[in-house]
Amino acid sequence: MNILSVKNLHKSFGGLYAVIELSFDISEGEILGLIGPNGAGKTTLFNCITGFLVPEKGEIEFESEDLVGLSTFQICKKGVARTFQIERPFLDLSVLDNVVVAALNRIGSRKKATDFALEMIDFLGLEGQKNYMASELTVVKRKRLEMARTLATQPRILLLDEVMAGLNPNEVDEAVKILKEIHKKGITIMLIEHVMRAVMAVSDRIIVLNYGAKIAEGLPSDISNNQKVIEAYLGEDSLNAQG
Amino acid sequence: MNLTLLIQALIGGFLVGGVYSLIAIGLSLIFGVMKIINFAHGEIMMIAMYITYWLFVLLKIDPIISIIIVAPLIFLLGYCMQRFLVNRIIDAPELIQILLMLGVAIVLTNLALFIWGPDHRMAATRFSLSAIMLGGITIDVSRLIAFGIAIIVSIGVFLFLAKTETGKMIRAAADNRLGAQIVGIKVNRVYAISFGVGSACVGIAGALILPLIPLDPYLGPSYTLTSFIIVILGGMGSLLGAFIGGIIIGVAESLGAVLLVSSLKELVSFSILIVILLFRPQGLFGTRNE
Amino acid sequence: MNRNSIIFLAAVLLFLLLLPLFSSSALIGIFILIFFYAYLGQCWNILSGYVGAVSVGHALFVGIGAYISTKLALVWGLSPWIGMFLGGFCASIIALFIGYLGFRFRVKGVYFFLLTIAFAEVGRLIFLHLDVFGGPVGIFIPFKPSFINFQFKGNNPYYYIAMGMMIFSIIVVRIIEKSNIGLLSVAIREDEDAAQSLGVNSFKCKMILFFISGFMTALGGTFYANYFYYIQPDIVFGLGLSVDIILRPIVGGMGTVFGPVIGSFLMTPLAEFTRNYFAKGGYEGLHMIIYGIILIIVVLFFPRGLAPSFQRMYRSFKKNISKS
Ligand SMILES: Nc1ncnc2c1ncn2[C@@H]1O[C@H](COP(=O)(O)OP(=O)(O)OP(=O)(O)O)[C@@H](O)[C@H]1O
Ligand SMILES: [Mg+2]
Repeated sequence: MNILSVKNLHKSFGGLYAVIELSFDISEGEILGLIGPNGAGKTTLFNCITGFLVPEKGEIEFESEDLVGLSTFQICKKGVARTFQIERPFLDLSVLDNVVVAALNRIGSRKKATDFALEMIDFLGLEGQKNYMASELTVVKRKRLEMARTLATQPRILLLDEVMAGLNPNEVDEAVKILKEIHKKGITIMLIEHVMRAVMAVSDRIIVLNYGAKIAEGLPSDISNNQKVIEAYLGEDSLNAQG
Repeated sequence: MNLTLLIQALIGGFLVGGVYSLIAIGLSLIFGVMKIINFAHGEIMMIAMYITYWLFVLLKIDPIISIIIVAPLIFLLGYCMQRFLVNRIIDAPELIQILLMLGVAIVLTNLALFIWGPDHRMAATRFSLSAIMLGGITIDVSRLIAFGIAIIVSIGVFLFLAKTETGKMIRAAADNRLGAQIVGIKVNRVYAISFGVGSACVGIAGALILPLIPLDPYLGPSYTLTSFIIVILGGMGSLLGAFIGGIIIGVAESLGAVLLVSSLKELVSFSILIVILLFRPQGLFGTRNE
Repeated sequence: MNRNSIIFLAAVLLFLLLLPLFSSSALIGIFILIFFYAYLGQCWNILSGYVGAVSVGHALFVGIGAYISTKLALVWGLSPWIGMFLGGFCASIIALFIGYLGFRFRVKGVYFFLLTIAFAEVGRLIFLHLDVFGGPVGIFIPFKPSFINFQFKGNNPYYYIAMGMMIFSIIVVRIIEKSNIGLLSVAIREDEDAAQSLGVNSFKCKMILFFISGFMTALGGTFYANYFYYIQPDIVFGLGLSVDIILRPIVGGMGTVFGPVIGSFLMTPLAEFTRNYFAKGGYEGLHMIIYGIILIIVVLFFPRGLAPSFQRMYRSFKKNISKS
């Protein structure tokens, strides 16, 4: 059963194509990795799915409903939540309130929303900082806060944009553990990541973008041996040089 | 509708529009370079007008000649304002910047009130009553002169920005402040100069417009608003846009005054402003940046 | 709120309640203005302070409130106490209209300032040309003191009404701040896109707050008309009044419950005292020069307003106390 399917998606910025004829599906409960060099169009894809950008062409179906044309908050209400590559906490709110804002997405009562937010904060190991101002957090904790917030919206699918960037190896392992736990809760995950070790470890399947187009799709083991992917990442020159 | 009257209004508006352009170019330059919305723009013009008026009454210097004195003085005023006030809040939130400029506006208005009193003043210059007749149409000589000089000064500003070393530095700093700093441009100085030049523009416009409108300490806000409208219409930061926008608003107001009631001419420009803000916020010549 | 601050607020309230018993009418007049501007600032704060859509045209709603309740009173003898709600209703409809355009078309920041200024100016120009509303001459309100007419001999009744309005506005803002919509608004103010991506309907939030803000501001307009007995478009719709409205909450600290009140307690007496002092000496304009200079100084040294600075001082004070 597909939870999200993208068909023939196109998005350009004044002549520059950021996403070209992209089609893929994610089935319920899957973890899908999305990789590709800088500027490949990964974030742009997330922006299209979550209504920040309107694609020129194509369909985005979430649980058989079209998302194109819906506004961002409606898409979130349907169950699609995303993190931002560059964290965007509400700086003037406490960590707890940051998460409560998100929890109010599904929970009307402030008390219950707060309880749920606290649960998410615990889950991501932020309980020590819950009364800090978001502006006082370190980058690593800010990434955690991003995750806590999106989880608090109680999504069906989570779009994670480089939540492991800048983490040290231990922190990456921790993050991988968290991802697996989120997955156990029955949340489908799509993650953009440059940290290959992590993507390979958690993904059921991987899609590779280059210059906006899908160049490969398959199991992690297939992807790491795929010639086109290696070319895209290393550049053709290095291949030629190897002869 | 009387056709002559209409053409008359059209020409009159066009000529005043040239002066509006100069006012708006000043505002747009300041905004384009340091992203500061100068809410004291009209007040700077008012001060320039009083200085011009003084020179005219006390020393019998014609407003057109006094530009030579007024322009550097107002340049200095703008330069110092930037140096000592604006520069300290250059990275503050917009609202704070506006509040500061409002504070400056309050001070300038009341300084004028304190020194010169609340009465209306009118400078009856040598050209005040002379007009050129063309067919049934009269053209005010003062307006014609004001228009001519405004155009010359505007072109001067364009050339200054395009050709001179300082002008190039100003454009570089406007484009990319960090980059400009990296290549060794003293951005603070460039900012102060830009503020000075922008102020001098509106100062000269003040001297030009003095023979055309009654002067009192309270005329600032209305010209500040008009210049905002022009700048939004032309596109924030676009000098060409400010120039053409000025002419358009001049003509629109003047036609509005003839077709509606003269006191309703502002309604035309505010309506234009609302429409532009909603449907084309980047203005006629601006590029939209998200 | 802890016990100390409740005791403090109760003491202030008691003092203000008793003040008219032992002070001059002139002083009471100043307090009326303090309350009045605190009230208007608070109304503005609801929209601009919390959700960050900064209006520089709030005089529009004052004007609407003043003109509608006054006209209804003059033509049909309708008590301003009822008319003020009709005025408020009209104002909130207009607020919704402006909000709809502004928020739907994503007019933000400076552009939103200018949009609100433009609407206020359009309102001013329209009322200047509506002869039924007295046009540029304005409306002089005949003095017929009675509670029903919202007119009183002496300042004391106005004092208590203005104080009541201010307290009412503080309570409203406090309730909003503690409610879900208050929290969501701050999120929108901090980062609208991020808030939307977490399911916040920012359009709806802003519309609700604009509605409340416009409604309450118009009530202030009715007070204005019946306190000054004279309304004129250039005054009640003017940019000057709009600026007066936003000045105090910004100085005090926007987006805080007590910012507008603190701002008004500082700036209003300052304006009034300097005015009285220098006007007597025949120095016209001088008081406003000083007022402007103080405004500049406050902006330069307290760019976030005074209330946050007070809070910080208070916090570090508490920390030091508990350490020693
Ligand atoms: N708002 C925008 N306006 C114009 N161009 C954009 C915009 N957003 C992205 N682009 C361009 O689209 C292309 C794809 O960008 P995108 O951010 O999607 O890449 P990415 O795969 O997320 O890269 P990275 O790994 O560096 O995050 C880039 O060339 C980028 O410059
Ligand atoms: Mg990216």
